[in-house]
Amino acid sequence: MQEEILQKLSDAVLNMEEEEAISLSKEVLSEGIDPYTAIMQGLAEGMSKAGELYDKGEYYVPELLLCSDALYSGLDILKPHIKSDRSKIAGKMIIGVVEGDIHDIGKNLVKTMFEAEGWEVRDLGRDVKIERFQQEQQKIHADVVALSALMTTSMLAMPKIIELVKGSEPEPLVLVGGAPLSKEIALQYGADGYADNAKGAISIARDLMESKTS
Amino acid sequence: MQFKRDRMTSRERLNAIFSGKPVDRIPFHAQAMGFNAINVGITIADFYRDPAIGIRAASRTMEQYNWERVPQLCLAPLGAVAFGGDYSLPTGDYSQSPQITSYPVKTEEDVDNLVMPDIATAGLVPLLREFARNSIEAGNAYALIAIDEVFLCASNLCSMETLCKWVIKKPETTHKLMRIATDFKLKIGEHLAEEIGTDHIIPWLGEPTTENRLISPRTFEEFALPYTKELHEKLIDMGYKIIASHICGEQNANYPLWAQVHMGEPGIISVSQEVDLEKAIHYFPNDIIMGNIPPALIQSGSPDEVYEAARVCIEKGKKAPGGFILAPGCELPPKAPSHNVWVIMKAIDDFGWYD
Repeated sequence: MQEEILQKLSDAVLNMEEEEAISLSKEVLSEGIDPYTAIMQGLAEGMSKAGELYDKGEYYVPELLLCSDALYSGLDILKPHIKSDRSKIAGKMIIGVVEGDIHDIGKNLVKTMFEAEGWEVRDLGRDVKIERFQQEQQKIHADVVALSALMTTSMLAMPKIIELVKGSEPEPLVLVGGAPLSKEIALQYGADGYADNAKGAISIARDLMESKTS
Repeated sequence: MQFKRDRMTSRERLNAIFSGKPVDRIPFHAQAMGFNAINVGITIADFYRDPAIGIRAASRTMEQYNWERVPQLCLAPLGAVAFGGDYSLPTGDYSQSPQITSYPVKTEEDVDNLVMPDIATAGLVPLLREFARNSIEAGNAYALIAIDEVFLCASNLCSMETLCKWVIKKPETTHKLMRIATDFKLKIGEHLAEEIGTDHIIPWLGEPTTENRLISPRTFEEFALPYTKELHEKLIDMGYKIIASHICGEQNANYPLWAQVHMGEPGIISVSQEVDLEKAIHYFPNDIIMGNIPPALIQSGSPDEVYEAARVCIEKGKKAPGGFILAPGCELPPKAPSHNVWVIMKAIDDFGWYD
């Protein structure tokens, strides 16, 4: 029974069925299934598969956005019922689109993927002032600060933000992404990693976290 | 500034390449807007706010760098503002261009309630018109005026995120939106033709929103292509002989579909850095190929890297049967180091001659 519901939850996200995700999430609660398990093995699993389909060129941003809607509909129902000791956090992240830039679809998808992987994400939104990233880092001590830019002018804010947040204690890892960026520019700006899509960002964050602790 | 070996004025060079005749060397179009402003010491907002100031900044910068004398104006929020949305001019150190701050369409019902505005006064349309008028008065033979493509306009009306969801969940609403966007673009074309004439205006049809990191070629084919074809054909019927299509971003998979569109007589195909110039030449053998030095490289690369990238483009572009214009793959970064811009012109002087 539990296995069947988890599979259906995963499918609901993967198939962009928001209403189905809501109905199944309610069923999870009424059947007494652990909500944390339902999130990780149901909703998050579906989002992860959607990311894989994006990598294969079978899904595009429209599909990912609708999968994301289904994911969050389920999360809204299940998250309040997670016992605090079960809400294991994979890591803490601060994310935002840098000052001067309002293009946030990419940032939102990265946020979704990380939340689906069990990360606690502090989303600062778009057109975020440089100093704000440092202020938030000083407050929440994130493991990763993720910066997004779509313009060649707004990306120039990145090295300044990186310099500021890298001066914080504890020093976070910094990931950057967005159309004008590349691995070379990321390194030039002092970032630890660059990803050209949301799923790739998770792998890079995971690898960087592991090499930092090993 | 002019190259010692230049045997044509910019006007002669442009007229020649547009007529399929030989040119002395590779022309260069900078796709510069904010760069012009910073170059002459005004704000980027001033460039966009006042067409006379914008043309003055463009003219001085084009002359300084020996670019082709083709001022360009793109106003990304054009559709949003015309239908009741809002926008902001660039401010601060990191803002590049006008940006939408609110969208006129928030619900499906809003689509049914959209009313075609009086085009002469609609939002930012007067800025486009006056920019073109000022360009002619300044003695430029041509101006690139961004009418832009239809899918971009639809995203302007309801936001890209909403449009993405609607192409799957609300296909009929999406088609309604595309119809309105197409009619709006055609109205702009008619208005500029009546007020300014079609001889001096090259419609700039930019399309960043159909790139394949966002939507599939199938979505492009279903929702953008039919309206794109209509827009191009009707603009050509209006008398716009030359059209510049900026196929922005990673659109490799869309190129076979773009090749079905009438691009102009000739068309200018502005190629993004994500697409190989040889591929663009393959799909558009009769049109003028333009591109595609990576803007981020011009911004952040070394002069040697930029010079080499320009050389590679020139070597590939010279083989285009319909002609080639060297250009960045997208807008010249407003804060590009001036030496990186200069080395592009040096690359033309070193490698860009046809004899």
